[in-house]
Amino acid sequence: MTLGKKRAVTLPDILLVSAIAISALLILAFFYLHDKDAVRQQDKRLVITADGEPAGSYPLDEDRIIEIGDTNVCEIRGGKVYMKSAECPDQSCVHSYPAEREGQVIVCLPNKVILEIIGGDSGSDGGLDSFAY
Amino acid sequence: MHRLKRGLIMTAAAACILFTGCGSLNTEKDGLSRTGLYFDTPVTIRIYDDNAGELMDGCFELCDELERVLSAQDTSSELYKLNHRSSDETGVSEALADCIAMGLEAGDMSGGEFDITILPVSSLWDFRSGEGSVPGKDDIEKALRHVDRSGVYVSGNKVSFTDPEAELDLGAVAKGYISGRIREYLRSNGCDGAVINLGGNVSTVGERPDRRPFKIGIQKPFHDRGEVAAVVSLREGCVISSGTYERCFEENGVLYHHILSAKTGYPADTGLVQVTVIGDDDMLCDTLSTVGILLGKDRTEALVREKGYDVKLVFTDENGIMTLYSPDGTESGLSEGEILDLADREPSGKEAPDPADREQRK
Repeated sequence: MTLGKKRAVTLPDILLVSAIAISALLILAFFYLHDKDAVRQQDKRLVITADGEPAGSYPLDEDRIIEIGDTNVCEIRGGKVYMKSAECPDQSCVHSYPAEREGQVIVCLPNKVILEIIGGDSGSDGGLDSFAY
Repeated sequence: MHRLKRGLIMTAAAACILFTGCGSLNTEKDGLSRTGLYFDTPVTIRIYDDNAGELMDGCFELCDELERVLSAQDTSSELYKLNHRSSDETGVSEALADCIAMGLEAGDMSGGEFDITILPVSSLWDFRSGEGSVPGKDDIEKALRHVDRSGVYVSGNKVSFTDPEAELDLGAVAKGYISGRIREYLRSNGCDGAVINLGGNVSTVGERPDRRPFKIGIQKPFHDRGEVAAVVSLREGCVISSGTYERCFEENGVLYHHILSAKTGYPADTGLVQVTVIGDDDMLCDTLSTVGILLGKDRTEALVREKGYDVKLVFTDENGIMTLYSPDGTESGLSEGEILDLADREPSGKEAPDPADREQRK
């Protein structure tokens, strides 16, 4: 039995393992960064849907005003999302509490506009899992 | 060659572990959330499960399917077709038959204050647009003549009517039926945990990934949507509110809201602005929350006692005072922002009215 045969792991083995492990990590990193459901606390975002279609996604840490079609205007201010105005008679979305936590949603039913917060951990900061009305 | 094989197996295993870890990172711990618009209301579902994506698709497919049956707005829905029927007896789907049966049951339990044949009256009122006004007295009286649940019969999957102009309004039961079906679907597919919000009706499945109870806020009446009156902490169950602050308008200083008395054709006026029902049967809780507004606190408590429903109720009066009623017959005050800890509540299977009872109406 030679020394060479005794060595279970050789340099090519190590290289192969490393190469595959690194590509696995890269793929994982890709999913981690791109899958909206895996976005973490620091990457909280506002996701807008209008009439069933995606209508933009914005980070919560930058203040801005966003026009959604001709009907609605929302605002990100201080990490919170407000529906600033809506072209509809009932105005219930404008009178919604600002959304700031993962899973919180503001909906303008007449114009089919949904503002949804994604990213972050919904319950660990004392937040609510849901809201009955 | 052996070494290469072993190396490959090792790395494949490592990759598998990494990917599984990735999958669970997404949806087992953090949950997957989706919002859609169905039944003229937002539906938000959050699922904690490795298999959340597939379960989520299943939930929304179920919403699609039930929307084709129960939608009040869609002129091609089964409900709409039933209301615009050409014969006195119509075959209906099980979903529609179940909702009608529960609606009829609700009529009985409320002593006729609630009636699923209220549609000719409720369609005179416009609580949705925010521009509604009080309908004429004569119109209401005329429409009230067609409000009579005793002329509606459900037998198996057949529904028959004695009044050809009778029309059904399933607004008080349909949402509860739908969230119940979503829960049933998730449970039977082994879902670890989920929170369903169907236009303000909240129900939960399983548990949170951290095993702590779910925390469900209750809307503070006549305040911005999202302002909390109290918080319910519970495991599996449902929290369903009805209130006079939803879908309402004001005319000459009087508030007109969407919960209509079948006896008068006008909004109920029982001194309550909100009733929240916490229990296990979505459809029963949904129905009871509406019936609660119509009957008022004392009669609702008596009803729950008499029927032995295992539910908790939170009544809010016009001054914002909250009272908690428990199935053991006790009443206690609930202060603003208080957390109602029902994490130890034992889910009960006996509270739901027997479906067989619902069907034996002919």
